Amino acid sequence: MPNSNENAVQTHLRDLRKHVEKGKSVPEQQLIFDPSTGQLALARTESRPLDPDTVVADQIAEEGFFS
Amino acid sequence: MGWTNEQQHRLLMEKQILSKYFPQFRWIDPAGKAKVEGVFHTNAGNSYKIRVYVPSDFPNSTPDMVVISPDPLLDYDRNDLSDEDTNPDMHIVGVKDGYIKICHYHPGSWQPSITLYKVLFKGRIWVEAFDAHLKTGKKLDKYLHHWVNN
Repeated sequence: MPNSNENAVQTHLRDLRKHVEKGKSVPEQQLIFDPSTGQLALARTESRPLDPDTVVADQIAEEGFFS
Repeated sequence: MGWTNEQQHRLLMEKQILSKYFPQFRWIDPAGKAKVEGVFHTNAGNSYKIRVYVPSDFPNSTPDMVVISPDPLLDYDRNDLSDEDTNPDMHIVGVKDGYIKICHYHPGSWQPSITLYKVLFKGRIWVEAFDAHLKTGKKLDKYLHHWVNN
């Protein structure tokens, strides 16, 4: 069951940033976006998305943000 | 503004994608200075109204994306973020029409294949990281890493 707890999602973003900086992939969990709720959530990496419209957000976050 | 046939076709595709993934977003003045506006509700329950300006040469240049509410957008220390022109630590790239312009794709790395959906997706992640900033006081670059040109 995806975890949409705000603290867990924000911690994942912080950890993802650290992992990208070190050139590592993030294990176990990935950030997903459920368009039906508009919420970001965490799901186990090996689990299949619950809904075919669910989008993996990690890749977009990993690209970085230009500033 | 007159869109070419090719642009009209592209904008129709963009509209279809957004209606599926971000249905709360609406097109403003689609035949003129086109913009897309809508509200993101974060996991913490906060709301941020976002606007994306569709450039006249779309999709050949990077669209600007701004936060239009809350206005003013205050940081953890209650400072108005639009008072500064750029703030790389906060992933803010400037001000447009009085609203802060948030970082997404690097203009030098922009590809016409990048959709408005992907731009807005970065906005969705940005507002989640901004919520984290409001709670912890840590700058956004502790949550979102900077673009690296490959």
